[in-house]
Amino acid sequence: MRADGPQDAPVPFQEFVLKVHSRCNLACDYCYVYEMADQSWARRPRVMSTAVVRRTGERIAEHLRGHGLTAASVVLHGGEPLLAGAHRLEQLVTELRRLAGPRITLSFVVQTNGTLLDRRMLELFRRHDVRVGVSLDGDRAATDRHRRRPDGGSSHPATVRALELLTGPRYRPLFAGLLATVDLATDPVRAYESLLEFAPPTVDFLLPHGTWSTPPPGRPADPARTPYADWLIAVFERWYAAPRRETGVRMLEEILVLLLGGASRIESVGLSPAAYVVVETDGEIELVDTLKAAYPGAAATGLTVHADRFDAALAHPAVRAGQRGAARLPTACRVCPAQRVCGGGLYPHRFRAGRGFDNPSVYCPDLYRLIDHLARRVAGAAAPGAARRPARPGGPRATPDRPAVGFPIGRTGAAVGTTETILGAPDRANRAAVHPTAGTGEAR
Amino acid sequence: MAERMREAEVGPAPTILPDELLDELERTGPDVLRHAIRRVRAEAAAGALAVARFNNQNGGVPTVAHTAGRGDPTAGPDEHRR
Repeated sequence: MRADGPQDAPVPFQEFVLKVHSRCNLACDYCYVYEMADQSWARRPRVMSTAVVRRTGERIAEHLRGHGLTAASVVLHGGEPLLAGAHRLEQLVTELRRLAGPRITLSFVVQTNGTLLDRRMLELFRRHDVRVGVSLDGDRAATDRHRRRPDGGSSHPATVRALELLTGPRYRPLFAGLLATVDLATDPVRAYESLLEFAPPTVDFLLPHGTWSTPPPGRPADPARTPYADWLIAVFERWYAAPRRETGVRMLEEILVLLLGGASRIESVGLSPAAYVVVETDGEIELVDTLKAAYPGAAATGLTVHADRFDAALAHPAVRAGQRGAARLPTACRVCPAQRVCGGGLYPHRFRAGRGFDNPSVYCPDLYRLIDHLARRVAGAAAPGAARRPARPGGPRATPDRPAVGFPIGRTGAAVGTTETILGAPDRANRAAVHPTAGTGEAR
Repeated sequence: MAERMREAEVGPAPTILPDELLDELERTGPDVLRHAIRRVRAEAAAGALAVARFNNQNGGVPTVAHTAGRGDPTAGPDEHRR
């Protein structure tokens, strides 16, 4: 977006997610690409062809130049991107940089399960300055519950071998971070500490994908129960209590930043405009691909790099909606005091068959409880003499219609340590709107 | 003005602590909180509009200087934190 653009000018794409390979050598049971509603992977070419790479590179350069941008991120994604092979990945990175030209800086990151990450691949990434993010759910027991090979074998030993290589002195600068998916059956502190053994610059715990129609595992219909918040709060307390910051925990850090008045850099919380786009192996331009968890074709735009500029995707109603700040919130969330921090959660998690996406997140009670807990901790730290006061166990549990105590989000300089609410009280008449499943037993 | 309005629409949430408390917490708070405060203040000073990244990757701290949505470059951090 140019600084002199109109108020509603779109924010140009600054991150391009390239599906360089559409298949995976693992069979993770929670995968949104293969195990959920959309099955379009089956009709895609396995690998992004040279022609699609070239056209994508031309489109990226055209988009960045057209918007006066001199830098962008490219995420090599899949499937499992390393299945594309070292030679093809090297060609891709080289070609995209060549097409971008000397005035545009492209930063590359690859997100991999790590099982194919060997010395040859790491040398390639070192040569081309490609940063590496690895997906791992924790220790072997945690990883084996979901991240198995198609024959049922464990993926954990191969991923750990790769991480040992990656975290050695030669390749450590390439290490971007770890991604784990929350599993309620895993001890949260153990999961965090097992990831910490690799000294990652950042980790993140992703909520398993689900919708109101296909709820996440263990997410109960009762909004007073918040198992995912409880899990993440345990991680937060372990992370927060460390004398020195051991790593960044992305989602928790983003919530803290939002509570402190900053803006989020990720799509799962906050109201920052989404400024990325996905290109499939066949050149189709897609919306956030986790929409595949909602229904078949949910991520489709009907556009392709062969025929369309990225500006056409920028004009797509769903992309525009994702850049409209508070205006993109579900109707029910507009009475919620946590709305600017929560942002309605991850977009796919709002889906309900027959009602589309105009619903709070299926994780609404968990998000609210988590945000409220962090707000209390910030408030507690700010209270005189209480900077390192431990969390009070057994304190009142906050829900969107029963917020906790503290100071209100959105009111600068509010008194600290008073009985004012942290998140304020939503209009009681709208309680049912905030809790669309309250009392219906619709979610399991 | 248009940029300011847009910043107000999609930009940072309002500050929830007064500056004196943020100063105190930046000195004495838990390390992860101090880190978050420093980031908020640095980003406010830079005046850039944060954009949301794709969630299913963890590329760490963005290396891209996001300059879109810059407001009045002479405005102080407080104005950007509205």
